[in-house]
Amino acid sequence: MYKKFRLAWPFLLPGLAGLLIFYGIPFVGGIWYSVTDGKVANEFVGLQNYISVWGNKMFQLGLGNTMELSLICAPLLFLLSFVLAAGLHRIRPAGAFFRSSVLMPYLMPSSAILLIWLLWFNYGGPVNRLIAAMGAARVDWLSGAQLRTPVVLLFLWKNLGFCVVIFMSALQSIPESLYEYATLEGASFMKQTFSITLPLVIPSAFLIAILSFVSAFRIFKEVYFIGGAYPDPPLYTLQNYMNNMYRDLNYQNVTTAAYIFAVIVFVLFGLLFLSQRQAMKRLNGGD
Amino acid sequence: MKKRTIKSFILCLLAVMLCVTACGTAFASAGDRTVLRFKAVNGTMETWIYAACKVGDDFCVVMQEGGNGTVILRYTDPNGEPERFTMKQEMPEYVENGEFMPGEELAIGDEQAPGEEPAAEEPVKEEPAAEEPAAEAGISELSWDDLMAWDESAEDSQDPMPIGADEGFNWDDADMYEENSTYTNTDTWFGWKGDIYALAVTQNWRANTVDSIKIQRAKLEDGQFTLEDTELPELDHESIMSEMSDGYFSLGEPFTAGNYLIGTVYAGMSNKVCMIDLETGAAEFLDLGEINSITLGPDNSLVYARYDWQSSKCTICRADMKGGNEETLTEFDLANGTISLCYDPDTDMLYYTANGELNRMPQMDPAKAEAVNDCPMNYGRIVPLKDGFVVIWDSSTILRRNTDPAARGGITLRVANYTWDNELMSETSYDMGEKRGDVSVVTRVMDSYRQASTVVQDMMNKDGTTDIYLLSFDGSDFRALRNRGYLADLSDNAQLVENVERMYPYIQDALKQDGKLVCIPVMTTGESFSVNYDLWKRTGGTEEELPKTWDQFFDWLETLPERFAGQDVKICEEEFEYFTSTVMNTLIESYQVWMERKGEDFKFNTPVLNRLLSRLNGLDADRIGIKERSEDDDDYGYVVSYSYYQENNTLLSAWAQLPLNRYNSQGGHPMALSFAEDEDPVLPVHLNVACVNPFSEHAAEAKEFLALALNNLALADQYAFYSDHTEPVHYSYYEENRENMQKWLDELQKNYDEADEGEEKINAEEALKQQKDMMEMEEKYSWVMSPETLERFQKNLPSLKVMSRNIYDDITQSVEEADWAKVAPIGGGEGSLEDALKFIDEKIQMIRMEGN
Repeated sequence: MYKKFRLAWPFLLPGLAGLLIFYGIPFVGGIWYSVTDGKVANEFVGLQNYISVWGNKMFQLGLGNTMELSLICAPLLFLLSFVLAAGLHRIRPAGAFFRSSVLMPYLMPSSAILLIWLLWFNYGGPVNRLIAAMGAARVDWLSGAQLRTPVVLLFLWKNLGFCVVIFMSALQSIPESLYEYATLEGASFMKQTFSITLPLVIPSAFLIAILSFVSAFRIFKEVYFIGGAYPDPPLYTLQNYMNNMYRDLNYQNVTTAAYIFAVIVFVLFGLLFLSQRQAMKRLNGGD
Repeated sequence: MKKRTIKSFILCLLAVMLCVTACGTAFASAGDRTVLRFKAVNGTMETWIYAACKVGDDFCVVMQEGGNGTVILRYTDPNGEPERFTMKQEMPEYVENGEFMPGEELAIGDEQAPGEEPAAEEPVKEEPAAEEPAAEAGISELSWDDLMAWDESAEDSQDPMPIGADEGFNWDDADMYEENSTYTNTDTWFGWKGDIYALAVTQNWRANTVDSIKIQRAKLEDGQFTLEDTELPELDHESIMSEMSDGYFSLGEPFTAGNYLIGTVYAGMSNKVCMIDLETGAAEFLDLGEINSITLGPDNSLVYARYDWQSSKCTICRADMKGGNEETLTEFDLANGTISLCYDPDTDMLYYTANGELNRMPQMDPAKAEAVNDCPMNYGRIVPLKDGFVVIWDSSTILRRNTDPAARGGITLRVANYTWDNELMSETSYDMGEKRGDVSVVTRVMDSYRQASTVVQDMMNKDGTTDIYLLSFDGSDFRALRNRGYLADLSDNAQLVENVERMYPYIQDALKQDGKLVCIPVMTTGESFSVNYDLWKRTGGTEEELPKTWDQFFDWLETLPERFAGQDVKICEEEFEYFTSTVMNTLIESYQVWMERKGEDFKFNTPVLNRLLSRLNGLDADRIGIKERSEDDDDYGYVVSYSYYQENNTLLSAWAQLPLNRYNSQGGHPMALSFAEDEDPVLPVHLNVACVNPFSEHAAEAKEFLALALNNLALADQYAFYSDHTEPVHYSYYEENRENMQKWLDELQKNYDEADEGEEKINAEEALKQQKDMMEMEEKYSWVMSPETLERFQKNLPSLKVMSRNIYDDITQSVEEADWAKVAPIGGGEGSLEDALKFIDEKIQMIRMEGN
C-alpha cells in the first residue's frame, strides 16, 4: 500500500502543482487584498472592506439577484435534465440522435446564441407575435424584470444538454438486471424508481446539482451583453458589481465581494452535501 | 604603510567609480545623435525633409528650406558636417519642388525642359511688377489640396479662389490662366548608382492630369545643384496614370532593386506596389493588398508589412518580386499602425520601427528579432549605414541610431500614450536625448478604442515597466488612478512645480490632489460651436445683445434670419444636424460641469435640462436659416464653399476648439452660456494629462522628461495653460510678407502718382486699392494667436472648468443595442425625453451606490 502511494506521487504532482499555483496561491493572496486598503502603501485595514462591501446597496442588490436567479435556474435545470435524460434513456436506440442534439447549445458561443435570443424576444419578435396571436398583450422582454425570463430560458437552453448527458451516463450505468429482477419480484415503476434508480444516480445527481448552481452563479455574460455594465436593477448581478469594481481599480472590493460570496457558496454546498447524505441514508434504508 | 596603501587604493577606486558615473552619460550615449531637427516657428514649419537616402557610400538629405528652396545635404560621415547644395537659380521656377510656385507666368504652362531656352515664338512675358509680389506674398503657404478642392467646387458654386491663391496670377488674362495650369513637382527622390535622382512629375491641376514623368539627376557641384535630364527614357505616364485613381502621382517609400525603382502608389481604394524599369521607362503594378511599408529583401524578394485595424496586429510578410510565394515572417501587436521596414543586404538584417522602438531581425529569422534602440518618430523611415548605425528620418528630423542592443542607453523610459497625439512625446524625446544621453525614451501609442488599457493591470501587479502614462483626464483609467491614489507625487521636481504655478487656476485645480502635483497637462481637446463675434459687431450687433443663458441662446437663434434678412450673412455653413449635434454635446457637457461646480450629484432629469433639450430638439432648420442635410450630401457636416474663408460672412460654426479656438480665421470663438440668469456661464474643457507610475524605477528621469514636455507644448496649449502667455503672435512669415507687400504698395502708389488722368489713373487706383485690401487681409489673418482670440479667451476664462468625468458619455457609450431606443429621445429621437433622462439617472444612481 505504502509503495503504491509513493508511486502515485509522480502522477499527482503536476496536477497538484497546477492546483496550488493557479488556485491555492491566488486564493490565499486574494485574502490579503481583501484586508488592505488598496492604496499605494496598501495598509492593513482588517475587516473594514468586508463591512463596507456587505453594507453596499449595490452589492446587496447583486448578491440578491444572483441568489434569486440561481435558486430559479439551478433547480429547474436539475429537474428538466433528469426528466429529459429519463425520457431519452427510454427511447433507445433512436435516442442517440437526441442525446447528441441536446449537447449542441452547450457548444455554441454565448454571444451568437444571444443574438438569436434577442431576435426571438424582441418586441416585434416571434415570441411576442405568438403571444399577440393568442390574444394577450405584447411584453417588453428585453427590459426591466421581464428580462429575467429570456435570461433564465437562455441559461436552461444552453446548459441542459450537459446535465442530460451526465444524468444519462448515470442511468445507463445501472444494470438492467436489477430492473428485471425487481419486475419479477412485482415492484412497480415508482418502487423501481425510488429503490433502484434514485439511489444509484444520487452521486451523479449531487454533481449535477453542484454544477447547476455553479453555472447559475456565473450568469453574467448574457446580462452584460444585453444590459452592459449597468443593466436594469432586476438583472444586476454580483458579477456586474465585481466587474465594475475591477474597472475602477478597486480590487479590494472585488476580492472582498468574492470571498463573501465564496462563504455563502460553501454554506450552500455544505447543505447540499448534507442533504445528499441524508437522502442516501433514507433511500438505503437508514444505513 | 600597508594600511595607507589600502586606503589610497580604495580612494583611487572610488575616484575612478565617480568618474565613470559622472561620464556615464557620455559613455552610454553610444553614438546616438540627432543629425537634423526642424521645429515649427510660431506654428509654421519653415523647413521640411523630402527624403534621406543612401547615395553610394554617403547618405543624402533632400529638404525644402524656407526661402532657400530645395537643399541637398551630403553626409560622408554622419557625425561630421555635411556638404550643402542649394538649387541653382537658373532653374525655371515652376520646377520648384512640391510647391505651387507660379513665378514666370508664361513659363508655367510650357513644357520646356529645365534649363532649356524658351522658344522664340513664346517669349517669357516681362511682368516684373506682377511677378515679384506674387512670389513673396506667401502663396506657397496655400496647399495644393486647397486649390484642387476649390477647383472642384468652383464650377458649380462660382466661388472665387481661396484667399492668397490669386495673388500670383494675373487673372485679367483668362487665356494665360488656362495656360498656367501645369506645374512640376519633384517630391520623390532616390539614390541609384552613386547619384541622387528625382521623379519630375508635370501635372495639370485644372485638368487633373499628369502630362509627363521624367527621371532627373541632381548634379552637385560648387555648393549648388541642378536637376538635369538623363539618358533614361521618359516614363510611360499614360499607362502609369491609367492605374491611378486621380490625376496625381507620387511614389511612396521609393527604393531601387537593380534597374527597378519600386515604391507604393495610391490606386483606387488601396495602395499598390509600382515597379518602374528605369532602363525602359515601363511600369508594372503589383497588388499585395493594403500594405503599410515595403522594402527590398534578400534574394530580390519583397518584404512588406500589413496592418489589421480590427485586431491591431501587424504582420511582416515576404514574397517574390511578382508577389508569389508569400510567407508570414512575424506578427505582433501594433497600436497605431505605423511601421517602417528596411533591409540591409550587407549585414543580412531587416530593420523595422514599431511601437516606439527600432527593431532588427537577423537573417530574416523572427526568433532572433529584438528591439535595439528607441525611435521617437511615428513614421520614421530607415536608412542603414556602414558603421552599424542607421539613420531614421521623418519630415522634420533625422536621427542616427546605434543598432547594437548592448550599446543602448542605460535607462529606458517607457511611455504609454493613450491619447491620439504623439507629437509632444516625440519632440520631448529629442530634447531628452540631447539633455540626457544615458536615457532613451520609448513611446508606445496605444489604441484606446481597440486595445484594452493595461493601466489597471500594471497597478495591480505593481508593475513599473511603464514609467509615464498619457491619459484622458476624464477617462476611467485616470479616474481610477486618482481615486485610488496611484499617481506619483511630482512636487519634488522644482521645474515642474514652477511651470505649473504659472498656469491658470482652472488648470492647476485639475493637476493637484491633496495639495500635491500629480499630473501635468499635455493637451486640451474640447470642442464646441462658435460664434463669429467679428461679423456680429460688423453687422451692428453689440456684446449686450448676445445671449448669456442657454434659454436666451435658443431665443436668439430664432431671431437671426429676420435680423440678417437682406444682408450677405449666412447663419451657419454646416448642416443643421451637425450643428445641433455639436450644440447638444456642448449643452450636456456644460450641464455636467455646472452640476459639478455646484457640488451637486449628477442628475439629468431636471426641469432645466429637460426644457433646454426639448428646445434644442424642437429647433426648426428653416426657421433658424440653417440648411438640413440632403440625401445627396456625401460628407456629413462638410464645408463645401470656400467663400466661407474669403467673405467671412458666416455667423455660426459647428466647430470650435476649447478653451481657445486656435483655428479662428473667421473670428469664431466659443460662446460661454449659463443655465440661469443669476448663474455664471460654464465652458467644459477636456484635458489630456501625463502622470508618473508610482512603481516606476526611473521616477526622477520621468519627472525630468515631463518638465521638458512642458517646454514643447503646442502653442495654443501654452496659451491655454500659462497665465503669462498673453501676447498675440504672428505667423513666422508675417514680417517678411509685410515688408514685401509694403514695397509693392509703395511701387503702386508711385505708379498712381505718376499715372496720367483717365483710364491709366483709374487702373492704378484700382491696383492700389486691391493692394491695400490685401494688406488689410494680411493684417487680419496672419495670426497664430490673434488679439481677438486672446481677448475672447480671457473673457471666457472664469467660465472654464476641466471635466473630471463625462458620466453621460460613460453611460450612453456603455448602453447596449437593446437600450438604444431608451436614450434616443435625448438626441431628438422618438420617445419620451423625460423617460430617457430618467433612464440615465437610474444608471447614475447605480454608479453612485456602487461607490464609484
